[in-house]
Amino acid sequence: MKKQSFRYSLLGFSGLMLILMIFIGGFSVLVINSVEAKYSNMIDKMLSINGIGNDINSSVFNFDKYFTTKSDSDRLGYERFYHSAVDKLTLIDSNKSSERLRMNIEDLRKLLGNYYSNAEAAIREFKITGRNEDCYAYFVEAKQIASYSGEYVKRLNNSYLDYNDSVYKILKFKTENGRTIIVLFLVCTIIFSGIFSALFSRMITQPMGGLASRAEEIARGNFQMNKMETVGIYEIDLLQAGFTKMAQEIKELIDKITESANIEKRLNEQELKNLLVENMLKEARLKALQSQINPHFLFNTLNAIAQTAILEGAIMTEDLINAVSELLRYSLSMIDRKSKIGSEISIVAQYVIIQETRFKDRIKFHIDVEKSLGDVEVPGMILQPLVENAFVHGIESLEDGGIIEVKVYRDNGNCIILISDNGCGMSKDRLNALLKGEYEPKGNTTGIGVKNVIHRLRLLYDREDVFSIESEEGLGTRIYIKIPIEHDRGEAYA
Amino acid sequence: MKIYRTLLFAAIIMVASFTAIYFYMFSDNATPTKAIFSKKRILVLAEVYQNPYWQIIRKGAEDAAANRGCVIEYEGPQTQSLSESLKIFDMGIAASVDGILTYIEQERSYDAIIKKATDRSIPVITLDADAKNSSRNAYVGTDNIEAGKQAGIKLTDITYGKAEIGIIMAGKTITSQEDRVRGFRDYIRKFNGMKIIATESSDSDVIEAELVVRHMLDLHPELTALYCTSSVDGIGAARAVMDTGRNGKISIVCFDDLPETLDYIRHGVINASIVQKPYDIGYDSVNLVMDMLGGKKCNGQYLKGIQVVDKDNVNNYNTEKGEIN
Repeated sequence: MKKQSFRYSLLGFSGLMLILMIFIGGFSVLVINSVEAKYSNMIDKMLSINGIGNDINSSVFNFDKYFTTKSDSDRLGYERFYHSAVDKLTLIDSNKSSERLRMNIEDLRKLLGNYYSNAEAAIREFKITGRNEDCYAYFVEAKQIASYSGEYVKRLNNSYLDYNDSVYKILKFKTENGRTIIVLFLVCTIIFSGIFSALFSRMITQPMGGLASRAEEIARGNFQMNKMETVGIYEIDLLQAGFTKMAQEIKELIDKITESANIEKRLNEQELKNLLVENMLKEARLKALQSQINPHFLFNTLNAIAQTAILEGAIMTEDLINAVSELLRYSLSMIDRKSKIGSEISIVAQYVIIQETRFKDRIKFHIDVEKSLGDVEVPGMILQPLVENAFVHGIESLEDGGIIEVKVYRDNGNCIILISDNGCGMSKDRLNALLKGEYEPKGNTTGIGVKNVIHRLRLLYDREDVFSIESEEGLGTRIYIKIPIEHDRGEAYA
Repeated sequence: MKIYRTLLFAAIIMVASFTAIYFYMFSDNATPTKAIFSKKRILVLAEVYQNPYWQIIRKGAEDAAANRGCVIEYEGPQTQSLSESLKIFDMGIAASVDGILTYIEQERSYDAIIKKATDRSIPVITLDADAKNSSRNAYVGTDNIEAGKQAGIKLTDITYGKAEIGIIMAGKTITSQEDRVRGFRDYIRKFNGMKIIATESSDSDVIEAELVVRHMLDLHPELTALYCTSSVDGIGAARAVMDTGRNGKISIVCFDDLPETLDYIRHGVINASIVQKPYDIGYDSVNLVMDMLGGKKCNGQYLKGIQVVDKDNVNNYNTEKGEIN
């Protein structure tokens, strides 16, 4: 399809309208001119016919006068008027006139001819012989003939009026039709321009509407572009093409951005994985390291030391070694197993024995367990690290009077384990850091830290309030572990 | 864009068609030329211009003229007038017409003017009424003596040879009328019961004819038959008879087949009409004069026959081509 500039289309349209209007104007002028020319021709001829009669009368008057005055001016007057009449007759004659009219003209022409020849003969005779009989006969005949002219002019007039009647009818018909044609043409032009304008405006507004709805689509985030039909107007097609291209480019850009974001995300994931792997490697390395010390060897050695202590009668030593041995065994075996509150408490008791041995009366442990809760299942090795933490970070630095209390009680369908100390406590920042797992208290521990315990509890029970901590600097720390009794969550920890 | 092309096309068609209409309607497709009028002009001089009988002759003449390529100048006095007729004749000569077909009002009065025409080699043919002793070239018309005789035969038949007759003529000095009366009179002379009581002229005018007949009926209440020698006399007579309530008591024989005459025949007011052939007279005379102008020698009398029309054949007699309604 040939593309056409909007400007040229509009220009062409206006030009066409202009031409049509000029045509209408020209047509009207031509019609008026044509009709007017015919009317004026008609009137001219009528005046001419009237003039013929007057000319003949004047000619005869001069002719008659000549015979008394013999003046050349009269003769010339007679001649002039005669010729004027003949000229007028020739003027009105036309092969388009009616036959009757032409017949009458011919009659009058012949009559004038006869008049002239008789008149000339009379003048000739008059000049040669004076007023004799021949001269008189011609004179009378000429005047007689001239007297008939009035009748012939009248007939001519009548014929011409008859003829004009028909001409007038045709003229009237033409005038009326001309008017009708002009009106018709005007109506046609109006209809024409109406159709054109309607089509033209639709042709412009339709693609504009299309563009607008597409813009809306894009605003809504839909870059899917159906191919737009070209309308053939250069500017609009250009606009459409540009719009489509723009939409495509935006879409490509967004795709590109999304892709790079995805890549970055994947990269981060990869890094995280790498980190985990590293951690696992570290742990594995630690485990390997740990496994290098043969626990059996350690236990056997401890047993041997315990038996030696018995043999030597060192009961305290034996108790101490047994406690250490028990603690070690438990911590090695129960770290990845479920346990019961009772077992946990007994391990804490072994730990207490050891610590009591170390610190004598500087520290006091209170353990208070509701009997029915001894069988509640908990992850292994959660209690001892907390007690140890309370000891290491809360009490150890105190000179005297440190109290660590472990309480297990039922509360609202939950089993609450409370570990409280009256040590130095923690600042708010540190507390938060601990809860978020960002802080690990360092020190002299059996191995498993608080962070590990919190992590495991949260992982296992999948709730935030399983572990809560209250602490105030200088006053002590209270740790709550809330374990639901109804649900036996221990199974999941296999 | 297709629509634009269509619209453009439509506009062009519109402009073109209107231009075509303009040129068809308003342009002078031929500039008038001063071609000389070359047709022969034939003057037909009627008895009376408006006379219906003469209008039929005119129609015949004009039809012939159309065939022969000449034009007819139909003229005639508004009422019967010798001087007017002679003037028109002279005007024709003054205008150098190519041929003159004329009615003869009075035979001798036309001799001089006919001679003037023939001297200028304008052929003159007399129509309907003849001027035998003039220099006229030919006569075309009804055999009026024969027509009068036929009228006599018809009236004798109708009245069973017994009638008091009044005669109405278009003019007592008109040759054709005189001939019709002569033929009539010569025939009825043989019958003793047929008597001519009165003879009057109508001057070829319907109203005058009616008045003349009324007057005649007043003067001669014994009248039983009317013989009318021209077309208008019959109508005038019929009107007078109707108006005076003598319908059926008076037999009328008249001339020609004007529509009113035929109506009266249908209604039984007029008993019979001697129908001439005016169309033929007009038609043939124009052909004759054109033949003469073509160099053919045509002299003498060209007589046309007549028909008798009565109630029996009024609806199916051979109607003249040029009948005027």
